[in-house]
Amino acid sequence: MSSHSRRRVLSMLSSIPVAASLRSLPADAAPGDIPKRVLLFFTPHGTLFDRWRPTVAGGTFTLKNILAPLQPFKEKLSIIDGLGMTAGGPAVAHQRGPAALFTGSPLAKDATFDRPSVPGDQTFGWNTTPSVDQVIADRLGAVTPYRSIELGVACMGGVPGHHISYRGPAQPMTPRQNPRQAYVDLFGGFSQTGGDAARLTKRRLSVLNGVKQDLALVKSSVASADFRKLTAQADALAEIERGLQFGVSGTCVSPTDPGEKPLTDVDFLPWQLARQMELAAAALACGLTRVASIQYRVGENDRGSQGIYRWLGQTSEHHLTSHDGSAEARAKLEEIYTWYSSQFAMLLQKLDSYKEIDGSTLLDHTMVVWGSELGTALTHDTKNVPFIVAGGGKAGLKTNQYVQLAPGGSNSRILVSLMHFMGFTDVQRFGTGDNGTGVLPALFT
Amino acid sequence: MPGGGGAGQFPGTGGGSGSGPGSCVESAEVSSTPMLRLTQEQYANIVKPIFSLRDSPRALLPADENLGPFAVNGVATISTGIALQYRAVAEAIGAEIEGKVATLVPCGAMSTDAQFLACAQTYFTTTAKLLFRRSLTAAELSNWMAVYQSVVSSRAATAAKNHAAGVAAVVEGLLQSPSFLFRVERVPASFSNGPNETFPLDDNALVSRLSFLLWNSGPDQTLLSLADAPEPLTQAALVSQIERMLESPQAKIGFPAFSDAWADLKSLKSDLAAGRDSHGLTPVQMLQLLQENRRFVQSVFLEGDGKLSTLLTAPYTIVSADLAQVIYGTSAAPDPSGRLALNPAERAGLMTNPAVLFSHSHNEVTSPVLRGKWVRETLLCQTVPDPPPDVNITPPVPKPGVSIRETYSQHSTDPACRGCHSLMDPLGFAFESFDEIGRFRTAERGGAPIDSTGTLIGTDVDGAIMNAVELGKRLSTSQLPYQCLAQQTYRYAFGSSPIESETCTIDRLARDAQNEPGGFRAMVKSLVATPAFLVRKPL
Repeated sequence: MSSHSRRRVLSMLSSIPVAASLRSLPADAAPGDIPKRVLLFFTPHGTLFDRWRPTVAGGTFTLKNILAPLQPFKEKLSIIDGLGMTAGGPAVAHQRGPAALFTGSPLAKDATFDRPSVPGDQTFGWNTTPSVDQVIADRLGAVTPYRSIELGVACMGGVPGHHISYRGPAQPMTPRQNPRQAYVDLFGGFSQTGGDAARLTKRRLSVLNGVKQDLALVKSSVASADFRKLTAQADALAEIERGLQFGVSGTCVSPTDPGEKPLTDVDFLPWQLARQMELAAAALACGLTRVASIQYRVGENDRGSQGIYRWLGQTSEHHLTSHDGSAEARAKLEEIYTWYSSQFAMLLQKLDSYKEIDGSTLLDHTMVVWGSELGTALTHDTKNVPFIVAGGGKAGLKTNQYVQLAPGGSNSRILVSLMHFMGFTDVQRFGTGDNGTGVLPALFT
Repeated sequence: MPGGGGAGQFPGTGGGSGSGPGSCVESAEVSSTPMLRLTQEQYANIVKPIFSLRDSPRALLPADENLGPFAVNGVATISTGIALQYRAVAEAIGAEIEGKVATLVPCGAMSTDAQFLACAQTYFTTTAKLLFRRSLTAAELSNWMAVYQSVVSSRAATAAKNHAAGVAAVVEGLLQSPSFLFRVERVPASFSNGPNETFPLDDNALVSRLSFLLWNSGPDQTLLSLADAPEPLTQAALVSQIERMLESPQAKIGFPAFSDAWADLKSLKSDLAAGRDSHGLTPVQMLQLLQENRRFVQSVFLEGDGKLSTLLTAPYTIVSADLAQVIYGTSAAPDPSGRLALNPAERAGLMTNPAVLFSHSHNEVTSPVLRGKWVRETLLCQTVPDPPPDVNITPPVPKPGVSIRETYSQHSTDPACRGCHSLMDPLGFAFESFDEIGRFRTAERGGAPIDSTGTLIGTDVDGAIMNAVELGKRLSTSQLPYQCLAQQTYRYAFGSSPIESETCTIDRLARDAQNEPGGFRAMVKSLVATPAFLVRKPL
C-alpha cells in the first residue's frame, strides 16, 4: 500500500478537524518518529548590537530593547554573538550577504552583473554553492510532498542580494510571495469539497503530464547549456507532481484562506509577513515539507517608498536611515529591529502552537535560524552578524542561553550545526568560505 | 565596454574613436548568450491578444531578473516556486478561456466529440504556433491532443462543455511548456557542444529575435510564414520586415520595455505601482508623466529623425492638457496630437523631461547626485562606484535660504568624497532649474536663487556648462552617448553584454545611429546583420 493511499484512509477516519492538532504522522507513530525540521528566517540590514545584546548578571541573561519581544520564548532560544560572514568575495555586503548567509560561500568573480560595487571590484556573479536548506532537502530525498518551501515578502528578485536560498550555483530558489497563491498551491485541496478537489488534482496531473512530455520532446534539440535549464524545470515539475500525488488532506487542519491584498502597497507588508509565517508553520506541521525558509525583504536596494516603515510612523527609508549615525536615526532603527523581533516572536508562537503526539510542540522539533546579510548596517560590517537559533529543544538542541564567542568565527558553524541537527553528521565544513570545522558546540546538548 | 570604468577612469571611446569608418576591423567572435526566459511583459504581450484576455497577467508572473537596466531572465532556472506561479497564471487564463471557447474557437455547427476534436486540433495547431514561435512537430501535437482527450473523456457533460474543458486544459499546458516560456533556439544536427562553438540560428529563431527586439512580443503570422517558407530568409527580407514592424502599433506597445529602462524611469514606475501620491503628484498624474516620456521618445526614435541629438535637444513635448497645466503652467492646449512647443532657452528633450527629473529626485528636494549619476550612467554608460561602506548617505535637506550647492559642499571639499562626486554633482547642478517633478523654477524651495552652472569632465566634450539645455547640446556632439546607446541596444537585444572583440561592431552601430538617415532605426537595421544577431554561442 502506498503511503498516500494510507493517508487517504486516515483522512477518512479523522475527517473532523481538531483545532491546533495538526499531525503528519500515522496514528500508531511513536515519539521517536517525530521528524526534525528546519526553518530559516531572514531580515535585512543587521541590527544595533548595543541595543540587541542581552545583559548578563549572576550567570543569567536578560533580554532587553530589541530582543525584548522574544521574552515569552527565552527558554527556547540561543542568542549567538560573535559569528561573522567569512566568505568575503566580490560585491558589497548587501549584495553578497544574502547569498553568503546560508551558502557560506562568496559570489562568483565573473561579469554576470556589471554594476560596480566597490572601487577596484567592478563585477560579480551569482552564488557559487547551494544553501544549507537545499543541501538538507537533497539529502532527505522525497520524504515529503515538497522537498522545501520558500516563502517571501517584498523579495524582488534577479540578483544575489535578493535571494537567500539556492539549489546550486546560479540557481536561486525564488520564494512564493503571494500568500493567497501559496495557500492555494499548498493547501488548495482543503478549500474544495472532496469531489472537486479530486477532479482538480486529476486535471492538474493531466496537464502536468502533457508539459512533461512536451519538455522531453524539445530537450534533444537544444545546446547542453540550455539543457541544464530544461532539466531544472523538469525537476520542478516532478516535485509538483509528487505534491499532487501525496494528496495532502485530512489529518491536518488547513490554515485559513489569507485572501488577497495589494502587495505593492507597503502598508500591507506586515499582513503579508504574518500570513507567510502562518503558512510556513502549517506546512511544516502538516508534513508538506521538512525544510522551509521565510525571506523578509532583500539585502540590496531595500529603499524607495517600499523601504519606509509607515506602520511604525516613519517617513524615511530604512536603508538611508541605517547609514545615518545620529541618535534620532538610531532610535528609528531600534524601532524597526524591535519590530523584527516581534515578528519572529509571532513565528515562534505559531510553531509552538502545534502539538506533537508526545505533547511537545513543533517548535521543539524544529531548528529555526534567524540571520541577516550583515551585522552593523552603518558600516556594512559582516564580522559579527546577529544570529538567533530557536527551538529544537526536544531534538538535541541546547537552548536558553546567550552565547558570546571570540571574534573570527564563521557563519558556517551555524550551517554545519543545521546539517548535524538533521542527522547529517558527516559534514564538518560548509561553504568555501568556512575558516573552521564542526558544529557550534554550544548549540548541542 | 560596459562596467569597465572605475573611479576616475572612463571606458575609452573604443577602437573607432578618432579613426574613420573601416579602420576598425570587426570580429566574427560573439558574446555568449543565455537561453532567455520570457519577461513579465513579453508573456503578457504574447498571450493577451491571442486569447483576448480581459486583464494583463503581468503582475501575477514571477519577478524578472535584470541585465543593467533591462528586464532579462538569463540565469535563474525555474524553481518549484516559479513553476507554481506559472501554473497559477495558466490556470487563471484557462478558466477565462473555458467560459468563452465558443467565441474564441469558432468551429461552426458541431455536435459530436469527433467534430469537436477536429476543431480543437486546428485551434491548437495555429495557437501553439504563435505561442512557441514555430510550428509544432507531429509528436508535440499528438501529445497535446492526448491531453485534450484525457480531459474530455473524464467528463460527462455535453460535448460542447467537455470540449471547452479540454481546450482550456491544453492551453494551460502550452503556457507552462518550455517552448513557450523559454526563447528556445534549436541547434542544428551538426552542433557538438564544443567550447566556444557557435551555431547559426534557424529562420524561426531569427524572426523571433526580431519580434522580441522591436515588439517585445512573439512573431506574428507574417513573420512565421516567412520563417516557414522553403527558401532561407535573406537580409533584405529582414530589413523590409523591420520597416513594417516599426510602423506597426505593436512597436509602440513593445518600445517602453526598452525606452523606460534605458532612460532609467524605475523610480517613477515603482511609485506608480505603489499607487500612492509621490512628490505631490497623484498616481493618475504620474501615469501621465510616464506617458509623456514615452510619447516623446517614440516621436523621435520611431517616427521622427531617429537622432539622439534630437532627443537631447528638442524644444517640444507630447503631453496631455491636464499635465501641461501642472508642469508647464500653460493653459494653451497642446495641438490635437498633444504636441506642445516649449521655450528652447529652458527645455531640451530628454534632458529636461519631467519623468526623468522626477525619477532622479528625492521626495521633497532635488538631487544633484542622482541627476549627475543619471548623465554618467544612463547617457554615457560610465560607472560611478557606490559610496564607501561607512558614510552617511542620507541626503541633506537644505536649510531656508541655503542653496543645494552649499548644502552639498562637503562633496567638493572633503577629499574622501571629491573623487567620485566630482563626476556627479557638477553635472547634477545643471538641472537645478527644475524642481522634483520637472517644473521650471528660478528659486529653490528655501528661497535661494537658482545657479545652474556646472562642469563636464571625463568626456570628449569637456568644459563649463550653463544649464541642462547646454549640457544636452554638448553631449549630442560627443561620441559617448551614441556608443552607450549602441551598447544598451545590444544588451537589450541579446540579454548579454558585448565583449571586447565586439568593440568595433559597437562603434559602427554608434556611427550609424549618429550619421545614417533614420538614426536609431538605421542602427537597428545594422544590428540585425551582425554576427551577434545571426549566430549564437550558448552560455
